[in-house]
Amino acid sequence: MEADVGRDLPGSEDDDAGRRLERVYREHGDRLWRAVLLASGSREVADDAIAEAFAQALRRGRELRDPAAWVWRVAFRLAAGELKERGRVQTFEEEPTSGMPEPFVDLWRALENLPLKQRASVVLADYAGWSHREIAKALGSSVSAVGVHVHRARKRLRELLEDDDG
Amino acid sequence: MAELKDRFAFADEIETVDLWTEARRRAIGPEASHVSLPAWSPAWRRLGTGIVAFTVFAAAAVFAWDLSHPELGPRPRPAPAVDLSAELPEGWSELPAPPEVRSGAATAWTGSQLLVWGGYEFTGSGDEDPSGDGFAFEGGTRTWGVLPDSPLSGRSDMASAWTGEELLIWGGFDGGFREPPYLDDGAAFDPLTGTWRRLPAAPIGARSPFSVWTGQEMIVWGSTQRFAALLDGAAYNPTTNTWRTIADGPIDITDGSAVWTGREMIVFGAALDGNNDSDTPTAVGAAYDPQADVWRELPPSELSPQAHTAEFLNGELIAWDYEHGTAAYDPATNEWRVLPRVPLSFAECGPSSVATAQLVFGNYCGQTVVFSAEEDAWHREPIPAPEAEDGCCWIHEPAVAGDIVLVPSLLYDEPPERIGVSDRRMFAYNPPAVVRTDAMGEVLDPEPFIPQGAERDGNLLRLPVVFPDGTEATLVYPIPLDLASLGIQPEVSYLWKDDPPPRFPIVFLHDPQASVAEFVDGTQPVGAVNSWVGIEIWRMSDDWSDRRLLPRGHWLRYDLESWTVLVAVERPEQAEEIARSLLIRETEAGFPVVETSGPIALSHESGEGEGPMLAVGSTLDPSVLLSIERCTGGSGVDEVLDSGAYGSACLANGHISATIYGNASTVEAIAQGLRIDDFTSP
Repeated sequence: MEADVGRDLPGSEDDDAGRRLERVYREHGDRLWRAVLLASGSREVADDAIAEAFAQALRRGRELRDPAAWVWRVAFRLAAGELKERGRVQTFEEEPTSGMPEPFVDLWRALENLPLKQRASVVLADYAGWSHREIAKALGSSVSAVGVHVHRARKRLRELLEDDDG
Repeated sequence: MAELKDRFAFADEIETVDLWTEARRRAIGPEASHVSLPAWSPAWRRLGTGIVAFTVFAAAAVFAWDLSHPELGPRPRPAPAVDLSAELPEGWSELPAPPEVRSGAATAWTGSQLLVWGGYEFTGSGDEDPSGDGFAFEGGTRTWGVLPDSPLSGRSDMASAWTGEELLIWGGFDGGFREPPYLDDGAAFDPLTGTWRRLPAAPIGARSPFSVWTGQEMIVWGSTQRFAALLDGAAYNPTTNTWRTIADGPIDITDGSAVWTGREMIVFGAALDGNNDSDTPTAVGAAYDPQADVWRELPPSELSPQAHTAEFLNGELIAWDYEHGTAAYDPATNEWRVLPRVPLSFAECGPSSVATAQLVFGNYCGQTVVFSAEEDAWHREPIPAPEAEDGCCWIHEPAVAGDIVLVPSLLYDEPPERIGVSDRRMFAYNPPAVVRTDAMGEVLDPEPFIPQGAERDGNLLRLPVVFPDGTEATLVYPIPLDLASLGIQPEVSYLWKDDPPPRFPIVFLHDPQASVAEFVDGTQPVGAVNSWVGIEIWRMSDDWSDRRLLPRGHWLRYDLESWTVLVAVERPEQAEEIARSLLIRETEAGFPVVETSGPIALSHESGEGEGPMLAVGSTLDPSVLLSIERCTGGSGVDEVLDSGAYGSACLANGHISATIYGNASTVEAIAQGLRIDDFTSP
């Protein structure tokens, strides 16, 4: 039903904006969802953040110059806000995904031990492959502070994973 | 051990769900509007109703009230704040025209919407009736909608205030249908639920008063009514839904302004009679302290008494008189200083103004000017309204929307051609950002702080450091590292001793008059912890709290001799306790020291840089971050990236950990050269 995408949407009378956004979803949606899951530790938070971020993007229609970057940024902010509302900034709601290989399960458990800013920074850097400048823009931080968060997160993760391996 | 990136790659095996349909459902929403200007539809009404068929109105502007509040629950959360200053181009731009342009209306920026209620649309006929309805401009979708019906009759020039949750309205002018033509009732509108409630009866009589919002109360005082000389007033507290009377004012004012300084309401202007004559040779003013319920008179201003407007900006009352004289009054020193005149030619007009956190925007017979604290002067900012070929004149009604000024404008025709409105527009003024940049255009952080006592010692540079917990040390660097421009910015946060995170930041700005616009919502504090120690309470901007992953809340603002300090507070009722438990002072060397007691403790784990930051070079990047953190091991480069390298150094016999960022050779050099002398733990 691709031809219908974007039709009926408030604030975006043309189909082009909706189609463009669906392409963004198809290209980025899965990776964005997994990144938010890794940062938040909650499927529910990830579901809500991604759906809401794309819903808000659809409402804005052609206003968005770079919808992919916009959606990533908004999804992470929504997720952070939801975690704060739930008082779950520190602890994960989910158990490690069943069927995942051991190295990932260990990583999942280690991530829970990081502060949220470090967690979000290292996920965006090492899973999403973003530069520190892009992360800083998304998280509203400075490039240097993001660097520190990523550095400290990696150091801490390695310590935790070495303990596990040991 | 598998590399981190390899471990992260396994995440691609996690099954996902398709959320595209859900996103579209949320975007579309369950209801459609069947009118060209959609009516208000409170979010709670549609919640729980499930998906309702959506009727296409592709060509109509759709009011996005429902659409921006998709949350489930009995009471929706506020819409995300809309930062129009980030979305609009600098300078002037144009937005969708309002359905009407109201003069004498109550206006409020909620963070995402501009509410406009009451007032009248000027047509030139001279018998315009004030309205009892209103409109809202939705910043996110840039559409206009109508407000739900109110229980109030039409009126203009009423007291009004935005509390953060409700638009309060009281009193006002009814258009001259009775004698005296003033009203004594009020109501509150909650934009989240789209509902009105009536205010209880006030203990003062009908009038068109001056009013301010203090953060706790809407104070209404005096009257613009000539010959009335009303000196009494009252204050309404929406939390308790009660009024209290306030002390009578010492002066009469009929034409002027009321502003809130954070501690006092200042009323400034003159009492004029029917011939525009004043009893006083200059404009006069008085200040009311709501905590002490006491008034004081301002010293003479030397401004003319015929007409004037005033706003509060950067700690001063910026006043502008009928003859374009301007002056600034500082409540802290109780003194006036003369400002450059407004660069406009004289006309038979009364100036009006509004203020954001950065500027005062003035309007005079359709000519517009801006006063910025940085320039300390006025300059013209003409509105790019089209030439009035057929009509007569443009009427502008500026209103503040965060950091920008929205200006609904109308062009009216003059008799004998026609009486009426021939054009409506809405312009937006987004002040050019004042941003410090380096020669390459990179945005710079605040000035680094170089504490007194930094000194050369042979081929070493010695720098005193005080940690937030009082630990003192002297950092020693080899001069060949070229640290001449080094500085230290403390990074501190605190936490409730018995609670889990989050931790709350304490932000230090190395300027006692630093702008807090980036951190706060609104142009004025919403309260004060304790007026005698001068700690203001500001509402934290949603955007800031979201970006920094903090709980929404408030800031306590401390003014030190060299610093402006902001302390995050989640709930305003905690403000007093935190202020009692948190001592922030400045050492003789100019270094801010934070001490805690009671239920809170300092945290070194959650500041932006997670400890004192040592800026190296001119970029102000925190190239060295220090923390009181036990460590072992040596010093050196830990990690080399495309963008630079990270290293660490363990200092002061394992008491202080340093994280170093820079290019690999610099990191190596700093890690090897850094040392601590004179370590003293409290």
